[in-house]
Formats: sequence, structure tokens, C-alpha cells
Amino acid sequence: MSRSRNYTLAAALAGLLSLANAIVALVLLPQGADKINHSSNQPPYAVLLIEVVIGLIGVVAAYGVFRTQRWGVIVTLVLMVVNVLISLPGIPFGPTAFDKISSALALVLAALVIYLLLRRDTRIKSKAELSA
Amino acid sequence: MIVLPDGRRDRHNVRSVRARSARWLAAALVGFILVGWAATVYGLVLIADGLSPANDHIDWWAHVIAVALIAATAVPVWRWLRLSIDDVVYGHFGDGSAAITRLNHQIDNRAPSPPAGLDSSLAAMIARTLNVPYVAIVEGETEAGVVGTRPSDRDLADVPLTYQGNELGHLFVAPRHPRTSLSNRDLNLLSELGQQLAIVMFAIRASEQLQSSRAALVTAREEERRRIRRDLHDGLGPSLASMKLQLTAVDRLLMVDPHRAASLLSEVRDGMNKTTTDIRRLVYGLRPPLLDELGLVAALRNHPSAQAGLTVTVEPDELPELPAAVEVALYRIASEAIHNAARHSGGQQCRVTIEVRAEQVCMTVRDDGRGCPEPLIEGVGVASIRERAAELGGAVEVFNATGTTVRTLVPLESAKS
Repeated sequence: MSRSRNYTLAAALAGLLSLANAIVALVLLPQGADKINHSSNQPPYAVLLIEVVIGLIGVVAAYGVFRTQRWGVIVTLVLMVVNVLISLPGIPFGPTAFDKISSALALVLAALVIYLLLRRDTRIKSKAELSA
Repeated sequence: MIVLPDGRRDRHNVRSVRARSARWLAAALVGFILVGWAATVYGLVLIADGLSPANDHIDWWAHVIAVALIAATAVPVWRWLRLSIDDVVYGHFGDGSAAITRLNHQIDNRAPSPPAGLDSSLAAMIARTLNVPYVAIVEGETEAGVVGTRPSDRDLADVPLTYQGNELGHLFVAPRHPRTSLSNRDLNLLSELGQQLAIVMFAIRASEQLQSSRAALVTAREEERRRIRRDLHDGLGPSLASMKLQLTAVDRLLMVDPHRAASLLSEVRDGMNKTTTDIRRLVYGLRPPLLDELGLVAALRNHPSAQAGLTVTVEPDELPELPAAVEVALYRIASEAIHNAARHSGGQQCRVTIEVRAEQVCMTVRDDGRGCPEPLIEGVGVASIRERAAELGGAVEVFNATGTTVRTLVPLESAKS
């Protein structure tokens, strides 16, 4: 797989993941901080706020990756590590099976994005390719 | 980091600050992702051990396994991350236009007219851009620019510097870390920079060749002037002075000894004939008069070798008007080739074909003799043929094809200009 394909796939996955995170958090936020914090089957209000911010930044960063911009790759890497760390507790502590599965899926996707962004293409180039 | 002339290091230079920032960014990213990796591995092992809201009891061996897993994978993961993050932070993104623009600025800022040779500043710029420890620009066998010390523990990337299919040199770059290689992203950038460097190398070579060609022209002109001066001063001058003295003596003897005067006048006549021959030879050296009198084709047909047993045929019968310089060069080249054919080939026929194209003239002189020895050892004659063609930006090929063939290509544009 070529480098640009890696980046395109990583950008698509990161964009979808960030958008999904932001939308889910935005849907829950109108319930208010008190109700969310007192609910046993929802993440804390602060976590939702962080997810919105990370989600929106993630969409912009994914666009940066798609445009093969260095800043986009660096920001996406950081956000995906944060995503992995946020998703991890959701696997054992998720209130419903759906939450657990979606957390596991988010973790896998974020890890995949990190791998795609860091995968190095070190295929030896021939002299003819280099001088072409 | 920039080293100042007094040996101190300028830590506040923009380049140094940028380089240090990039290093810090790379280190921070590696550390952050490594910590994330460790936390994820630890968390996954605990989850596998049955961590849940209902069961917060974790077996001691789960912690041991998690720590062992992290310890076992930390170094390879760190190595992989370091290479990959270096590639992201220092590697080539996009079309490389920024790096090429920097290279062009560097060339603009350091190249006076005529352009000086490549130096280490270009290698330094490449080393800075890619954050690599060693860059060498090799031109032919010489190192035109080197930055850093060649590391023994890594294989150098070799980027050929080619322009119009000609290999002009090589760009050698060491990878950032031991026992690793540069990524294709880096190689792509090096390839693009290499193309620019090759163009610069070509321009420098062309400039040097132009310079030496100009010097050769000036030398040739001065040599020609010296020869004419010598001929006039040492040949014509004394002859005319001697004739003047003889005429003075004739004037004195005319009444006293008419026989002696007549004899002296006869000597003066002989001297004048010799001087006329000398002047002809001098004029012939400047431009063969046959060219003006008969034209190129007829002048070649009347070549002295044609009267010495060699049958010289020239095609075509008519030629379009050629620049004087081309005409003289073709005449002298053909004369030399015909002379060589008559002297060395042992053949009976010599055929001269002149083909005038839009931008160049192609002249082929072919004899039916025994051909030239392989490999060809060029003597003064062939060297002189090459020099005459090269003066007009042309080229000469000498090869065997049922005898010896001398093919000359002379561009018309350069001769006109």
C-alpha cells in the first residue's frame, strides 16, 4: 500500500471516528451537567465536553492528513492516542454491551489510524527511480 | 546549531531554534505515544484478567504479565516509533517545493557570475532539511560538498544526479539512525533536490566549458596573429629590405656596370617572386582562395591529393550558401581526411558527401582503403579535425566501414552567431 493511500485511509477513519465522537457527545450534552453526572449509564459531563472538542479538532486534523499536511498528522496522532486512552475504560466499565463494543471498536480504529500514520515505506528504490 | 566565527555556538539562531523545537516535538511525540502504548497494554491485560465494575480484584500475576509485556515490547516499539516519528517530523511532505525553493535561494545567494563550483552550503542545506548527519555531493570523483562525518554504522542512500540522461554526480545521504534506511518520502525529496542539483552542476560545467572555449578562441586568435606577425617580420620584412638594398645598388651600378645591374635586377625579380609566394601562402592560411574562386565542392574536387592518384568524388554538385566559418572548417577537415586517405589508407577512391540540413551540416569522407587500426590511436591530423569541428560546436566520428569514414556534424546556428 502506498504512503498516500495509508494517509487517505487514516484520514477517512480518523474523520469518521472524530465525527462520531463529537455527534454522540453533542446529542447527550443538552441534558445538562447535573443530569449527566447523576446518571449511572453515561460518561461524566466533562468527558463529553472533551469528546466534543477532540471530535471537532479531530475532523480538522483528519482533513490535514488528507491534504498530507505535517500538522494534520501530528495532531491526529495525539488525538488518536487520547482516543485510545479514553476508549479503554469503556470496555470493562461501559454500562451497556453497546457501549462496551463501541469503545472497543473506537480503540481498534484509533490504534489502526496510529499504525497507518506511522507506517514507513522503506522499499528500496532503484537508482533509475531516484534519478527519474 | 550555528557555530560563530569565534567558535561560540549561536543557540538563538532561528535555524537552531527550529531544529531544537523539531527535536523536542519528536521526542515528546515518541514519549507520549509510548506512554499511551504502555497504558493500553496494561489496561488490556487487566481487562483480560476480568476487570469490570463487579470485579475490581486483579490477580497479582496479571500485573506481572502486563509489566513483562510492556518491558518486552518497549524497546522495539520505541525504535519503531522513533524512526516513524522522525519521518513525520523531518520527512518530506507534499511536493517538496519548499525545500526546492530553499535550495534555489541558496544557489542564488552564493552563485556569482560565472557560477562558482558546488560547495558545502548546499549539502548543509539538505542535511538541515532532512535532519541527517551526513550529506556528500560528489561530482565525478571529487567531493564537491560534504557535511558531517561519514558514519560507518549505516548504509548511505545514493541518489544519482543526472541531467538529460547524463550522470553528472551522486548525492550520498546517511540515514538518521544506525542500521536503518531513509524512507521513500525522504528519497522522493532527495530525488527532487537531486534534479535541481544536477541542473546546477550542468550549468556550472557548461559555464566552465564556455570559459575554456573562449580562452581557446582568444589563444587561437593570438597564435594566428603571432604567426602572421612572424611571417611578415621575419619573412617579408627582410626580403623587402634586401630588395631595397639591391635596387639602391642597381641605381648606383646602372651607369657604371650595366651587366652587373642587370644581374642584380634579375635577383630582385627572383626575390619578388619568392615574396609573392610567401604572401600567397599567408593569405591561403587565412582562407583558402580556392573557396572564393571555385566554391567548396570544386575546391575539394581539385584537392592536391586528387592529382596524386586518389580519385576524389564530391556530392552534391551544388550546395546552398554556407557561413564562411563552416565552409572553411569543412574544407580543412575534408582536406585533412583526404590527405590521410591518400597517405595511409592504400585505397583508390575517396568519396565526400555533404548534406546540409535545417540546423546542421553533415559531411562524410569515406575511403575504400584498409581502414584505421582498432583501437584507433588518434594522431595530430584527427586531433586537428576534432578541434576544428569543436570550435564551431560540432563533433567528429571516425570509424571503419569498408575503409575509414570520418563523419563531421557542424551546427549552423552557432557558426552564424
